[in-house]
This record gives sequence, C-alpha cells and structure tokens, in this order.
Amino acid sequence: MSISAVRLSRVSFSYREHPVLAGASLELAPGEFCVLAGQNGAGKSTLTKIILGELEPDGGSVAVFDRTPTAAIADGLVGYVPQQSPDDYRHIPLTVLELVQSNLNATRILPHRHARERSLALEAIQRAGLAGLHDRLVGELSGGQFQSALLARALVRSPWLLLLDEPTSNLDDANAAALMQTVSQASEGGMSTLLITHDLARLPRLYDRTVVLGHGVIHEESDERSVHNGL
Amino acid sequence: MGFDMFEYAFMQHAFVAGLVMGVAIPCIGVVVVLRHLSMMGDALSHASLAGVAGGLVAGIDPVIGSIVACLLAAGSTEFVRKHFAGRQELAIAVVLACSVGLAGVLSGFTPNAASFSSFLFGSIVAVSDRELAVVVVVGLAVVAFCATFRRQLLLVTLDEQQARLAGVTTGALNVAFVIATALAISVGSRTVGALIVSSMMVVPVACALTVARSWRQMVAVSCGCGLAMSAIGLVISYALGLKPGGTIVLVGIAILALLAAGKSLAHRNSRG
Repeated sequence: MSISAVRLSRVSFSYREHPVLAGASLELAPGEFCVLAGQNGAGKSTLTKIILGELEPDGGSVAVFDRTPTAAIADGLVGYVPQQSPDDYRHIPLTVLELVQSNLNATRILPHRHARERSLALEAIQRAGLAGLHDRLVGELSGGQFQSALLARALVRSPWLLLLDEPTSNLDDANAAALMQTVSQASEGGMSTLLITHDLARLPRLYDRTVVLGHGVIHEESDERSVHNGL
Repeated sequence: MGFDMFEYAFMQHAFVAGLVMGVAIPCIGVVVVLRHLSMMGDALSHASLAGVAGGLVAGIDPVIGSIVACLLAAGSTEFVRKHFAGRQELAIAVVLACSVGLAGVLSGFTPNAASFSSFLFGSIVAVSDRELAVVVVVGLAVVAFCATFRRQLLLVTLDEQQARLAGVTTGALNVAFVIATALAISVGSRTVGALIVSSMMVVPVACALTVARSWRQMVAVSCGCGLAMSAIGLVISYALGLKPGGTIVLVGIAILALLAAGKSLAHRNSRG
C-alpha cells in the first residue's frame, strides 16, 4: 500500500452529544492539491484540528505520511496557514522577514545561524510572491499580501503537507485568484496541499481535486454535485 | 550637583539595582503587553504586596513572601481562567481583587508598618548588600531566560497554535514565563515598589510601540527606555530629593510623551 499524505479512515467526532463528523474518509496523495469544501458549520475546522493533532477523533484513524498527526508535526512535515487577518498583527511591530524567520528552528536555543536563516526566509517570501516586501510591517499589509506572508511562514520549513484554512475568505476575487496561483506554483515542487474553504465558487480551478464535507462525511465532488452547487 | 552621588554606597547600590531591573522588567513587559496581559503586572504586584505583609506577619523575609505570593497568584490566574473559559482578563481581575483584599487585611497585623510601606513605593536607595545580590541574580536570570527563549517567546506571543506546530512546548514555556514574571515583579517590588513595578513593565513597552518598526527594535527600545527611566529617575530623585520609585515612572511617562510628540511632528512634516 502506498503512503498517503493524509489518510482519514471513517473518522467520527462529536462535541458532547452533537455529532460533527460521522465516518469521514479522505486519501490525499503525495503532491496532490485538493480543495476540501463545506458550508459553515459542516465540521471543516474540526477536521483541520484532527489533522493537526489538536483533537483526537472519537472513532476511525488518521495518518499523515503514515505517522500520527503529532509525529508528523514533530518531524516538521506539516505547514499550516491559519485563518487570520492583518488586524491580528496591527498592534505588533513585526516585519514580514521576522514573521517568516520566526518559524525557522523554533526549538533551537543555541545561537542561530542568522545568514542562513535570513536567506531561507527571503526565498520563502519570494516563493509566496512578496519579493521586496520583507521589511514591511505585517500589520500594514493588504489582505492578499498578508495571506501570502502567512503562506511564506509555512513554506519556509519546506513542509511535505500544506494545510490552508479559508485563506481567501477575506480577499476580493482578484486577490483570491492571485493567492491560488501562488499556492498552485508552490505546490509544483511535490508538496501535498489541502485547502479548506466554504466558498468554492470563487476559486479558480488550479487544483487537482475537490472533495465536499457535508452531513459529517466527505464526498468526491463528482458524487455530490448538488452539494457543490449549493456552496 | 556633579556626580558626587556615586560616592555614596547606597546610590551605587541603587544604580546597579535600577539598571538591572530597568532591563529585566521591560524584557518581560514586551511579552506581557503584546499578549494583552498588561493587567497581569498589576495583579502580581498586588499579590507581592500580600506576600510582603504575610512574610512580615510570619516573621520570614518579606522578599521570599513576595516571591511565593506572586507564584501562587500566577498559578491561581491559570486556575481561575479555566473556570471562566478563556476570559483571561476576568481571571486576572479576580486574582487582583483577592490580592488587594489579602494585602489590606494582612497589613493590619504587620509588626513593622514602616517596612510594609517601603514595599508600596519601593526603597531602592535602601537596598542592602544581600538584597542587591538577590536583585542582580534574579534580574540577570530573567534577562538570560528572555534572551535564550526569545524566538519561542516571539512565536507564542504571535500565535500559540503556530508555536505548537513549530515544536515549541507551549505549556512548559508559559509556566517558565509566569515564574520569570513573578520573580521579576517580586524583586521589582523591593526596589521600585509594588505600586510602581507594573508601570515599569508597561511604560517602556508603550515607548517602544510608539517608534519601533520591527520586533528587534521593539525589544531594544523597550530595554533602552527601561534603562533610561531608571538612570535619569535616580539622578533627578537624588538632585531634587524626590521618591525614587515614583520619579522613575514619571521620567518614563515624560519619555513616552516626548516620543509621541516627536512622532506626531515627524508625521506632520512628512505630509508636507
């Protein structure tokens, strides 16, 4: 059996008596760019937390590159772009370079290799389409630039799996398309990508596959046209 | 005036203690302020006051009482926060209220009212050799902790979830940070005073927020302002015969006002 980037097998999860996931299954192949769509409240955030090892499923199994999510994260295989806005950073004087660099060698205590880290961070900033903006304050970026900065922070550790949580929710159509282009290009190096959204219709078709989360289970897009059309 | 003040051992002690705390307290303050926990300094400084009173009543070193009380208060904040499901500011306010109540009641039983009062506004010019050694060791330990874990503290300040994903053991780091905060505040209470130490935690950071254009500048300006507050405050208090703790904080406010005015002027000029 080949290794999957993400393998969810009949995962179930409930908040007290309220079931959110009821046997959700998903296989994400290495190098695949998949969009997971679902309406608000469908359980996308819960599923994200399970893949990140922050929640334990009540039933079923989860593997990330044949490891537990916690082990995959400890091995530095997972990059995550959370749902945030520039307002979260308005009060902090922090440059784009500092934001990206902060994710490098986070557990290292001994003196840092500044030149090496700086060049890795600048490379990630360039891959994310922010070349020349490394000295800009994060809180002063536009919505699209801010998402790219978060993307650069995730990319700087060269993850095998990139997880993006609603990255286009605060963007206009043009910026959403530009960000998708950047993510698509970043994925070309063999990185697996799982993008989570409630607004599939706005995304240009730059990904390989769509799956839809609804009623606690995951359907392939082709199996669930009605749900897709409703998004 | 000249610099005859340095001929006195008590002023030498005051300067060493002031400069060490002038760097150590803002180092903690940067993280405290940017994590929206500014009231934490107030809560812990009042807890330290309760600890001082408790120490005096029990006949133990008030600084030790202060350290124990600060650690208990910090732990209680975490406990109360869980009870109020994430309402951190409410948890801090509850601990602050409890600390004020305890300090008020215990102060009625202290055998030496003057000693208790010296912790309210500090007595940096009355620091003994032994107390100076404690201030220097604790202050340098706090600075070393912040310098060693600067990257981890930055990550936790920005986004605790991202810090966990990057491999930072956030629970242990938070506990260590709370202990460092409690130690800095306990020792700061002895020098600048329990009612003033939280200002020393916040005012230099407010100065830095006014002018800094990066995290690195933020830390450097905070520590620089903390040092300047202590040094200038001590000189002025010596020259004019003012209370040192209060003078140090007022100097900090003056620096903040100057930086804000300078920034506003520069902004106006850049607009033409």
